Amino acid sequence: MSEFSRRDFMVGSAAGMLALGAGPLAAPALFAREKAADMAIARWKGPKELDTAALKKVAVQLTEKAIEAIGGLKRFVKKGDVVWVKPNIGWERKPETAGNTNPDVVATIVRLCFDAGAKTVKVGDNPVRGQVTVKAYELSGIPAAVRELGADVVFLDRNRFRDTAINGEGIKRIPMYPDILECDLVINVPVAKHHRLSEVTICMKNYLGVIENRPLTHQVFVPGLADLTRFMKPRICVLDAVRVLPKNGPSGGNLADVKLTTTVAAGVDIVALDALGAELLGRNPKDVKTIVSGEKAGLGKIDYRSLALREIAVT
Amino acid sequence: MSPRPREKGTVPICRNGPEGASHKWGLSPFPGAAIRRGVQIVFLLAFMALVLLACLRPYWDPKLAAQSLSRLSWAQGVLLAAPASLVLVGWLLAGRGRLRWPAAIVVLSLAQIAWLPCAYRLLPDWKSDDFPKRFSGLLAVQIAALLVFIGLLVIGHSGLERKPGAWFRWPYRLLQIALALLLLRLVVLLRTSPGWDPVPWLGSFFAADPLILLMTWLAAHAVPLVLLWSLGVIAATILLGRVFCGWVCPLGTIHAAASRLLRPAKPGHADRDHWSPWQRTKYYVLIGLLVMAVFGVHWGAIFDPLVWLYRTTTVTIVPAAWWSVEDPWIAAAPADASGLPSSLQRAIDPAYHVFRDNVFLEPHPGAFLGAGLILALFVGMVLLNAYRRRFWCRYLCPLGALLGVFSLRPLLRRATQRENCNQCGLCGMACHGAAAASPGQSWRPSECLGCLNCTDACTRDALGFQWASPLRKEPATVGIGLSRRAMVGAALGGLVALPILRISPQSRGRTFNPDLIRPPGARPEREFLARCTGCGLCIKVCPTGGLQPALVEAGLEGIWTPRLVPQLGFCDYECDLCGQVCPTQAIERLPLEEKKQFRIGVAVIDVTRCIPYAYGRNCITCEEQCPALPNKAIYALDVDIQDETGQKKQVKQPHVDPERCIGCGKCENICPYRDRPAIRVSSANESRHPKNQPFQRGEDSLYG
Repeated sequence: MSEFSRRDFMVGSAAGMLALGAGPLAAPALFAREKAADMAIARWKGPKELDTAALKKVAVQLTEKAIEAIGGLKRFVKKGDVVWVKPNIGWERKPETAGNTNPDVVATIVRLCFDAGAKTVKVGDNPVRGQVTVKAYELSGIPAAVRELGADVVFLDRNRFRDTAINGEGIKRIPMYPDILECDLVINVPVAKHHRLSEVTICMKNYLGVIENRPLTHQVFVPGLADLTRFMKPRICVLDAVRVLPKNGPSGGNLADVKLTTTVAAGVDIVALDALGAELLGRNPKDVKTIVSGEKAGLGKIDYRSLALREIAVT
Repeated sequence: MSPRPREKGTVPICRNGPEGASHKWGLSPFPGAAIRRGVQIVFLLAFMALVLLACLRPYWDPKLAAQSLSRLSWAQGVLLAAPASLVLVGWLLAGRGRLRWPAAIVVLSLAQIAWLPCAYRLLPDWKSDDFPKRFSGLLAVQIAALLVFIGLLVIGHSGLERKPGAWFRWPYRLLQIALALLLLRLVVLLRTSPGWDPVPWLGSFFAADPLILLMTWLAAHAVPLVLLWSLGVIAATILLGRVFCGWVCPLGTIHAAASRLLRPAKPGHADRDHWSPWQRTKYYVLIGLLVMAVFGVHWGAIFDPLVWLYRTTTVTIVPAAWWSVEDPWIAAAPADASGLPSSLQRAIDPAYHVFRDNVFLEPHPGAFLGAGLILALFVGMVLLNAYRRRFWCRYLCPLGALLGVFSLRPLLRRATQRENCNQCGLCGMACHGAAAASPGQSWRPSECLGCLNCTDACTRDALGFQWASPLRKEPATVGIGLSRRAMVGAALGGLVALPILRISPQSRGRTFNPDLIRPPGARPEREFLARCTGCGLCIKVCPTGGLQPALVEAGLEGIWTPRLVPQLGFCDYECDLCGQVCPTQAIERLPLEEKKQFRIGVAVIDVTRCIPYAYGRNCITCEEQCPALPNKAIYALDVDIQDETGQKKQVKQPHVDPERCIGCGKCENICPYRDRPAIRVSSANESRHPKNQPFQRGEDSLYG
């Protein structure tokens, strides 16, 4: 005959409580890796020779796979959100010169945003001073690609930038574009290029398209880019490395300088993506001061392999 | 001269028509002057439209920039065109209080509805292959229609016996409506679309200007073929007198309007509106300018009325209007984003975009050096109408003088019917040109602007225009009456002015002004000045706003000629618009590839200011932006320097290769220094001057 003693009761209750508590605690550890990585790299492993049409398809495919691997845009976009897709449209350059972000990558992201329930998707950048915005937009091929999907192509009016306090180490105040700051989500979509001053221009430096007075930041690149990134609080970046520009950047323009790397990476860690981009450009990210300062500022990890990483071979 | 005193006992002035006056002399109820006013306004509008259109398409695709507005829909077009044209045509018809409003409105609406699709279909796409053909066809129809219209009008005013309300009254009006609508449609529909070619008829007013033709021919001994169009104006002048001044010239229209406002026809004003011998001044001015032109000075064209107006509009009026829209919009943006949403600015965006994309057709208003002087001269010129009606046209205009010479004995002459005339003086009071201002004076065709104010004012049908062979003496005319002595004096004056204009070492070619950077394709300075009219077309068309009117940089001779001020705007590597639009080809039309090699100066680095040199910080903005491909003209070298603690560091210092630099000025434009850039372009090294060459060159030089 067994009596349910006080001791039994206490031990049983404790075990029950533990089981109840541990369930939810253990669940993410069991399932999370399956669902969403923090960074995904999609590489093209098919035939090397690609004509323009094929490359277009590959770019779309790579973008879809990379974003899917980090959990899809549903992870970032809520229904009814206003999303700003921020490509690099810095120069009056055509897509094949790798001067600007690949239009197919941008268009794919716009489509995925709408699929994820975004109400409005805006696409815009502030080209380098001296470049004519409208011309740069047009040559980049991005407006034509995204407008048919229903995105707003926004021309950043110079007079709308507002002096904004960002209180960084190198930059205290700088004119920023209010519409970008007021969006629910900014998706940073840079292209990987060489840059004479910061060695590379990838994700962090892409935020220079949110501000005015760009040339002045040249004097404070090392803390400045980290300041801007901290202020922008990136939640997701998509790195376009379909074509990269390993030398004579950032303006480029010479087709001989362009390298076809057919890679698209997506992730939540901006420093990790910058590190990957630097490697694709043939640099050691630990030698790139802006990336190192990004890690020091606690914006992410240079060693992207230590993250929850998914590498996808697309054929 | 004092007005002839009115004799007592004559018929009193009667505005409402005389008793028993015969309609022997033309159609008095025909509102000639009112229709002339309409034509003037149409031409003025066309002129303004051309000014506004002179902006660059590849830089400015409103469809791309506006986000909200694309090409206007049909309904929008009708909405925009309808009220304006109704007002205009209603005003035209209102003429004499005999309008029949309901009928007029019905006819107008029908005309409008019939017209719009025509205009829409006729207007070709700029980019289509058959654009030149189709457009010249359209233009030919327009010009033909205009000629027919003026012809009919003239017949109506000649001595033909017609009853009021004859068949040709409606054709005039319908034609008028059609023209007005076409122009409205042109203004509304014209869109600039990406592509590199400017609208071919931007300079059409200059092509119709015989003074520019004559001056360029005399000064440069060469004439761009397009200027031969102006022979048509000469022909019209021989036939009809100075109708160009009275009906077409947009500056004349502004003066006419100012005269009506500032000096309305009142009996008290009559004394000052008689013909004055000082009206001969313009002929002497013309003679002096022509003598100068023979020696290669193109000054006559600088004082041409169309040039005056184009320059003033481009440099002052349009920017001022544009800023007055832009400024409130900027003001809606608070300086700090702390917490405030940007919705206020967004709320007024649509209105702002309408102006930006449909009216001014430019992304940002321009700002021009020396605009104050140009505006002051223009305002002064307009205000002088308060002293004498159409002061400029009567006393100073060299184009008017030239046309006056050709209208000494026109085929169409004014005649007086003595028995009807009671010498009331109404015609003289209404006369803008003081061609026959007082009852006793005879008609001076060289001063008559053909405005028909006199026939309109006459209540007794005592005035009319009629055809007469040039051989016939009747109806009598009075010549200009130039004195031989004054003519010789004027010619001598021109000769004396020449060395004064060219007294500087610069105009003698001994030195070159480093700040005088001419647009790419500009001819050597002397030849350039012999052709440049200072019209400002290139200044308007320059997409970066870098072309500015010179004040003294090119000497007195080159006042208001274009020069590049790189700090305000650079010469775009991919653009050759200035050469394409120049009406006298002072800037040659170079193929784009050749233009990219044409050196307009060279960039010079000021190492006492340049940030990497003087302050040991990195910058390289200029190197980044240098557009020459594949090899940039600016390159940066790594240099080891020490900072204040003695620590070694590396900076990139820029250098310029003079073999590759074309002097476009982009580096100067984007240099972080906004007061005096650390890299500046000077005119040295320019392709057009073999003497202004500091560098020994290879074979790539255009001028050997």
